[in-house]
Amino acid sequence: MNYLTIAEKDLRQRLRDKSFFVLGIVVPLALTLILSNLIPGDDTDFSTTLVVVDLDGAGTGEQLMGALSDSSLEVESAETREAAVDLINDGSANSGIVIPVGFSAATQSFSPAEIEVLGNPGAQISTLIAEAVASGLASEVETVQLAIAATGGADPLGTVDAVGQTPSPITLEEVAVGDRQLDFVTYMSIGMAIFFLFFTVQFGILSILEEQRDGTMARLLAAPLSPAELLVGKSLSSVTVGVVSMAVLVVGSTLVMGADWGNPAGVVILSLAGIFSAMGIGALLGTVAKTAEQANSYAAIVAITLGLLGGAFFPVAQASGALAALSRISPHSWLLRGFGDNTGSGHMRDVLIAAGVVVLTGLIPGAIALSRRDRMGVTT
Amino acid sequence: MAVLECRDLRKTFGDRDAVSGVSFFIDAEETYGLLGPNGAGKTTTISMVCGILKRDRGEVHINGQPLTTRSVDPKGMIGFVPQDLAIYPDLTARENLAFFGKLYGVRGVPLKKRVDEVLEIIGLTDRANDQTKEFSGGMKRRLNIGIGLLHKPELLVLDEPTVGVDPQSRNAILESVEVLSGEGMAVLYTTHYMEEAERLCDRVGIIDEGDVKAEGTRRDLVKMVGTNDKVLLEATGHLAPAAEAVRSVPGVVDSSTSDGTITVIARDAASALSDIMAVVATAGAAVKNVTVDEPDLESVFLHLTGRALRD
Repeated sequence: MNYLTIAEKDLRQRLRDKSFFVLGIVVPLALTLILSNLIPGDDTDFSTTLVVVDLDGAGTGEQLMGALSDSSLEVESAETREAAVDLINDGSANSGIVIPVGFSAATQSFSPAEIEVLGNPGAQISTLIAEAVASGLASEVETVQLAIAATGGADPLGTVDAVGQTPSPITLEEVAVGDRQLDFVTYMSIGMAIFFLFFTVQFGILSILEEQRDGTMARLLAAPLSPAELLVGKSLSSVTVGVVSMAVLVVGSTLVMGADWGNPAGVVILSLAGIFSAMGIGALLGTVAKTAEQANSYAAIVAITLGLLGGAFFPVAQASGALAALSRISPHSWLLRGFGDNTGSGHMRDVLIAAGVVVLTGLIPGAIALSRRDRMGVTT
Repeated sequence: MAVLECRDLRKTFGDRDAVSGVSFFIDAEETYGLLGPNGAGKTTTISMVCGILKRDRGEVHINGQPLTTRSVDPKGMIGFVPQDLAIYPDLTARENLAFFGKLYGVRGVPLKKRVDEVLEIIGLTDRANDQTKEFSGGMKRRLNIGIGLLHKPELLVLDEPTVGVDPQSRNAILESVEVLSGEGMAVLYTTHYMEEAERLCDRVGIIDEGDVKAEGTRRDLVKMVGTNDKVLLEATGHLAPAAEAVRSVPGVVDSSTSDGTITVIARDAASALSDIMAVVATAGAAVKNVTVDEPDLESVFLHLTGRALRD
């Protein structure tokens, strides 16, 4: 039962020095809140209104409006170019396309024809969309012209119809977000939670070195308890801190920011795996460092490096090859992958695989640390 | 049966022998002092006695039970007070005592009662609920000792508990140890202060360079350098006749003069001093200053090692 006494004492100290509240709860929640509001995520609604001016009056404008009505663009028509410019200037529309007089006739006679795009410097994305639509229209016209030329000009109207009925070789579809994609708030919530989890848990396990610094380790070693009880007690306090921190962050980010952590069982498994990993890495750092201060510095450097590498702040896994490959050594990367599977339509099997890899990232350094435990003053 | 028995303790750090063959025992209700200068091997010996440090060779028995770094039961019989402060600054005095008390198996109502008792003994009852980071150095020292007492150990081990302590706190600590040894606890006390060893210890082991050079009661050890006292009289006037006259005083073994000082060797300076002074005055010498050198543990250490304790 001595391990419970040690864990209780450690927790009392952690609660009293406020570091647990700051690093374990306040900072991750605050950063998630700030970042998710600062950076627009992929769940932000985007809409643009395109105004079409059909000065040609020969059907091209009508066809264009009909085609665009099936898209997610809002389309309006204007009688004149000036009217379209006014709509853009007063914000009723974001960009426009002007089909000039004689456009259809020119295209059928293989003469040069121009489509004018009206843009707004303040709405560059909308202007790019208008340019894309105009390019698409030009391509369509070009296709018809090539088809007529290929048939030697025989039955040009029939050729136009045939081209019109031919399915476009390339279609754009609005598709559901992939399984491993997290919405931005959830991504930031998970990223911040696991990033700071490594701080809180590692600092807990490194308190063994603080016992040495403060002289209390000698007293603990002189007390009637085994080294195993001491290590279990220290580990228990770290696990408790990690579990409480994750629980508060999961509940807080869900209720306050609407984050979706997915299957609760998966959250528990991945959280425990993350805590185990942090403990193993922290223990190894404890055997490398010579002082408590040095150990805490190492822990901070490692937590930040692994966090950045693993994509706790931004999705490194989607970066170029070398960086993406390097990110796979980070437990954060596997935790994010696991949480992605847990929130999407991924199977529990995928979650368990990710959790297993995360456990390995703690097991290996933990085993090395255990073989070097005398360096932390825990003699046997 | 001895409460503590150490046999042939040895510990080497690199190529340096920190402790080389230390053996001693402590009986129940006995206070044993390890007296030696800094670096003599006192703390290393104590670390092995308490099971903190793995020894290279030798044996430690607590009430007949062998003790190693992995032992549990024998360690429970020892109360350890390390040389450096070993308390948690962000816990209160009561929490510090309760934590270590629990580790030694004291729990519940007995724990609360014992914590109150120890707070009373170390004079911290009114500061019991303050975090120890707010304490003065002396208060921390007292708490450091109190933690070692909490579980009423059969053997209390104190490693230089008065180092860096102000005279008032030092005296309070020494009084506490005297009280504890009077209550039947066996005490192992290390120090490099000769006065502390003389005041507190029933037996003393003189340790230097990792080896116990001699041990015994103060009387036994002093006998090693002789039993006579030396009285030095700084005087003016007729010194030679005065020195000659002093030899007739009962208890005086010898006398001589040099450089304005009459040196008198007496069996017991304290009882012969008044007669010596009267005879010197009658012989025509005026005494300006008197110094009495009694053989002490400092002399013993000097005799055994050729060095002073504080060298």
